[in-house]
Amino acid sequence: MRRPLPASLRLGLGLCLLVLALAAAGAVWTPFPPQAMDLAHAMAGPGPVHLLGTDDFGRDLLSRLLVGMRLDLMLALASVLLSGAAGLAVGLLAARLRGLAGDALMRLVDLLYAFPAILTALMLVTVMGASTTSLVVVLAAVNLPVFVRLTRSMALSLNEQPFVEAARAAGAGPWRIALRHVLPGVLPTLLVQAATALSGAFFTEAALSYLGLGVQPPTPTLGNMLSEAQGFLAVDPWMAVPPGLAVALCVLAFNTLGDGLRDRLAPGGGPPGRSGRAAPFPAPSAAPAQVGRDHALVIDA
Amino acid sequence: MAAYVLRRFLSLLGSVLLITAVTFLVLRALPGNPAELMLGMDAPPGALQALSRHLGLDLPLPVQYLSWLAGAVHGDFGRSLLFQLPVGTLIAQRLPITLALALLALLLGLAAGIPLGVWAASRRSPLPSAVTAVFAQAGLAVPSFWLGTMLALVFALDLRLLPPDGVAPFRTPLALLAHLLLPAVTLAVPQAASTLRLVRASVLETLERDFVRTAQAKGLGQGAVLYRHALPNAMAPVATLIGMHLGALIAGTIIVENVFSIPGLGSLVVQAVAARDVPLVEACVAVFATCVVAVNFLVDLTYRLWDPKVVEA
Repeated sequence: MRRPLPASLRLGLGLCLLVLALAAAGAVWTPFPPQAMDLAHAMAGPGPVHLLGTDDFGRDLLSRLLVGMRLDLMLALASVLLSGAAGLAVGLLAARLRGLAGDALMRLVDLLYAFPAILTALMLVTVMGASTTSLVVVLAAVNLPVFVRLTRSMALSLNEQPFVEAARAAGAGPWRIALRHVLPGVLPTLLVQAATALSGAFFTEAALSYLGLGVQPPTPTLGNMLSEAQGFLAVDPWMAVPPGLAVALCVLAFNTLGDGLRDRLAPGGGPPGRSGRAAPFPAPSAAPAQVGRDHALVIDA
Repeated sequence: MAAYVLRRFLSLLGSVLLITAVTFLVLRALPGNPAELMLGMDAPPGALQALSRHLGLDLPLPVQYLSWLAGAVHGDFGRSLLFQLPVGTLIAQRLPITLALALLALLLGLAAGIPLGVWAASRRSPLPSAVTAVFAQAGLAVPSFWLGTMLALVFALDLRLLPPDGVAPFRTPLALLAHLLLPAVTLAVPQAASTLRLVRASVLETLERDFVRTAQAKGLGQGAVLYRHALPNAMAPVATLIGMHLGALIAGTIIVENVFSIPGLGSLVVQAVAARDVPLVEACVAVFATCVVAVNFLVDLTYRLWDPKVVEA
């Protein structure tokens, strides 16, 4: 049966398309080269030449915004792909591990899950430095525990389903069952989680850049543009406006997409709460129920 | 009950030990020697060796960890290389500010989120729903470092109502409050947004329950049904949320303290990371994580006291 797309999903898809279009624009064309300085027109407000104005070096804010957005988006996407793939593998493994090894692994994952994202990120940045590659790994590590927990709990309950038992009775080995029968059931939920993870990764990356611990200037990112703008708040407050709105737009787009996908998969919806990873402690009693609910509907769909 | 508390407390201790061990391992066992990280690639070998000895890096890792732990129990976290002060002293100076900020933000967030959530759930007209839905989404999407900057711009630089940054000593509570107000509002906005969503959903769900229908059937007015019957029952999930939020707020101070130049633990840990001051990072992460885990422990206990039906899973 086809249901019409929920309004939240349509809105989320629309916003995400907008974000992608802006980022794609940053890849192929910008009004000015993002590093080109024009000191005569430094700190100009929005105008016909520089649509969003210029920064303290007279660099075009719109150009830097588009380029920065593209970089931020690629970092977030790469990290979510990495953490999703790794989380899926570890989660399937954890669902198979019995005894002490399984317990120890899950204890560690739960602990990382409870660890505030920004703290994990700060710790890893201390060790790995702030290159683009290490940022992808840092952001992936932040999202990894969610994917592991989700995959494991869904794999565990799928393992009890009649169709899996039938496969087992037909002589399928554990890995064949995991890949052929459990994996397809897990993927849709992971996809929903990926949208939420994307907004979390984007947020964390912007925060790190803002703190001066992410991508280093002069390469523009939304976070470091904002941090530069803050130094001139008293002189030229406008500089801080576009990058902040751009971060909000992107995060809003991913959050709405995640909410919309969740509505689509589970009418009635999961529990409300902050998307991304701001709430580090889900109620112990609430978490399994939510997974169960989503999961029942996945099977049904 | 006593057995439950004891078991939860031991599990709390276990978590803290595990967190500190992981932190320690990550910071000391991953590529690169911490001494090299701190001094840079081209430091003279003599200085490297001296620092390695000072940090005890020549010892096996478990020994390093145990001796760090033995010190930490006595409040001795080693010496900060950046500040040239004992790490324990630095943390003792800065932790109170951070906790005050997080608590103030928690209060503000609840004070805004609960009434808005009830308002959004109690009216049949679409307007409150729409207004609060927009606030909830926007509140979650706007990054705190930007919101803080904008609030400082409007209320501190333009209107000159509140100080733009820094803190006042605890001796002058009013001045301190004035300094902490903007950062606390910044922290509270996403929290209020998520409280709002939860309260709204919880009230709507409670309003569907049988006892509410009974209350309506016996002729109680809309207000009495909502405030006397539905609301107390709808608040239970909010208690759990407070714990989650306090954890998130404590972590959120890391960013907000940097926006408003507040000398708390959050700005300390960022300085420590930027300078790669390993002993300071270790201690800050341990303290932050302990706060978060301890808050969760307290919430579990209160939850259990509040609602005797809750049995341990």
